[in-house]
Amino acid sequence: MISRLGAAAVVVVAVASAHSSFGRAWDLLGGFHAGGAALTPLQREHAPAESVPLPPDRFDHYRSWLSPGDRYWLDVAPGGLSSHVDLPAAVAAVARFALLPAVQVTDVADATVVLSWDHDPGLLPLRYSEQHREGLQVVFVSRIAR
Amino acid sequence: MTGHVAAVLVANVLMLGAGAGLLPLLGLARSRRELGARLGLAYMVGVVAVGALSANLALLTGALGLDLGFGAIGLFVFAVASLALGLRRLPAGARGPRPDAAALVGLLALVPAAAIVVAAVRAYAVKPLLEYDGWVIWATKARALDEFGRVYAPVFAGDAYRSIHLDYPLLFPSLEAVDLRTMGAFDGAALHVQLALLLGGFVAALWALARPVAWPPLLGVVALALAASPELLYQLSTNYADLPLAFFVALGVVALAVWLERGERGFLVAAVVFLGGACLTKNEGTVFALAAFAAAAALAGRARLRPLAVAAAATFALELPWRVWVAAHGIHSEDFRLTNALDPGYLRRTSDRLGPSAHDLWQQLRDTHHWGYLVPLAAVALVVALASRRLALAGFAALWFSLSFAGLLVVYWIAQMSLDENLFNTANRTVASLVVGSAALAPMLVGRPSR
Repeated sequence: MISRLGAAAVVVVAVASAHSSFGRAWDLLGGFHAGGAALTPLQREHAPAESVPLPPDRFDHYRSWLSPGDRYWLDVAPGGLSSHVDLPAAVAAVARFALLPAVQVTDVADATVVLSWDHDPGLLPLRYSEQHREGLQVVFVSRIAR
Repeated sequence: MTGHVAAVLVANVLMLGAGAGLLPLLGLARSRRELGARLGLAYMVGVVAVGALSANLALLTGALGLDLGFGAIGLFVFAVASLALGLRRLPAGARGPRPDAAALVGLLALVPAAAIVVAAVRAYAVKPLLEYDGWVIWATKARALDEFGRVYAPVFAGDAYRSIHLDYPLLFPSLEAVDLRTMGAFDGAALHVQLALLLGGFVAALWALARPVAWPPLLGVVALALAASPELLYQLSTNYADLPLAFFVALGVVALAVWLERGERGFLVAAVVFLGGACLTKNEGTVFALAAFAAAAALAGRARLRPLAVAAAATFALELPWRVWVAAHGIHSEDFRLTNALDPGYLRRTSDRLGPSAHDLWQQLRDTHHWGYLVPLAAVALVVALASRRLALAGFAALWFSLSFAGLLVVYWIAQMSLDENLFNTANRTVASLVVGSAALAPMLVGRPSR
């Protein structure tokens, strides 16, 4: 008797849980679909950088001049971005994700390429074999001469 | 449906095939009829096997400096080999009882659960990678495993990558790397489909595992309550590993509970598979698995301690290659030092973290707005188990939950980051295994009501 009553009680709680959740779950999934379907594939690709928020075109520029096997060092001017992350850390996080298979390094001596973010690569004591600037921005891909 | 989503679906069908072949090989199905009855387990067994195989192959090829990424071809070969070996000479088995009305009612409850899974596949397939850790940690690792075809030390042990939790094990990103290789490109939206499929696999596996001892109508409704939980669906969509971890933990503790009830070896093997999968997914998985084996040991009785010890050893052996690699590369947690948990002086100095941690974790557990009534459901089931003198299962569930909660408390106690920030960012996720695990145990606690 106890077990039948008990089973009924647990069924009631489970049904109540499913009933109270189902509509909200459906709305949540509908919202995800509506939001995602409205984006182009490029917008979806750019979403991680946009969410930080950082301009994704800069990472596209870096990516277009990097090759597999490259080791890049980020030259980002110190600065804040949000309450929990500063600009260099945010740029590094997006770069780690977006620029693979190029590998990020923390020491410029290990790098084959310098990626500049609002910082003039000419100020570094390095010689470059090639440089690619993004428009008029101070955004450079500078391959280190060896 | 895009080609990338289709590729993820194909990869997952192959995982289902691999799992179906592994069920007889692991002793989880001893006849064709039993295989049919337990087919719900196949997908999640396949997922753990493929994830673990992919991760360990990546470690091996990383050590050898080879690029042999485990992708569509490897997956196909693995599935065909598993099926061929598993189904070979598998006896037909005795005809089982026909599904009764209770089973049909339970299955009926799974229909809306299946609708949620289909809706999740559709929604996740277009959802971009947005949530921070979802791309900073997990998708970055999956992409690196895909690009390099191995655990490439300049990334997985590189100074520039220290902030992506290099100490976390690799089952989840390895699984996603298999999807990426099958796609032949990186598509962060299509990657989410894997998570929706895990939800479907979890529901099917819960049904197949608990069915022998649970009352089908309750089992079906509990599975539906889990699948419909808004917090579960939200967290699953973030590409964080906490919900995959929760699924493996829940299936592992349910398998242990069935083994405690019935003593059938196959369920102990299932516990090894799923708790091993949990250990290979996140570091907390080891805490939850330890809690599960400790709780089972307290209630199994002396005669069953030996097989339980062997199962525990096998579970933790699964993560050994990863632990060796981590130690060899001098990687340690950026969040805490485990030795601080054994330092009375440190614990005394930081004891003011304990109260707020317990308070916040408890608040998350009782958050019925987000989780639904999953924890109250487990609490009522526990009371029913005690009242109907199902003491072994009640003790197992209560002990596992308490030890796991205590384990989480210790993690927050010894963590080195600001407690407020840590709790704010993680408490809703770290309780996921407790919520899902305890709710999944509820049908076991109630059992089959006597007529």
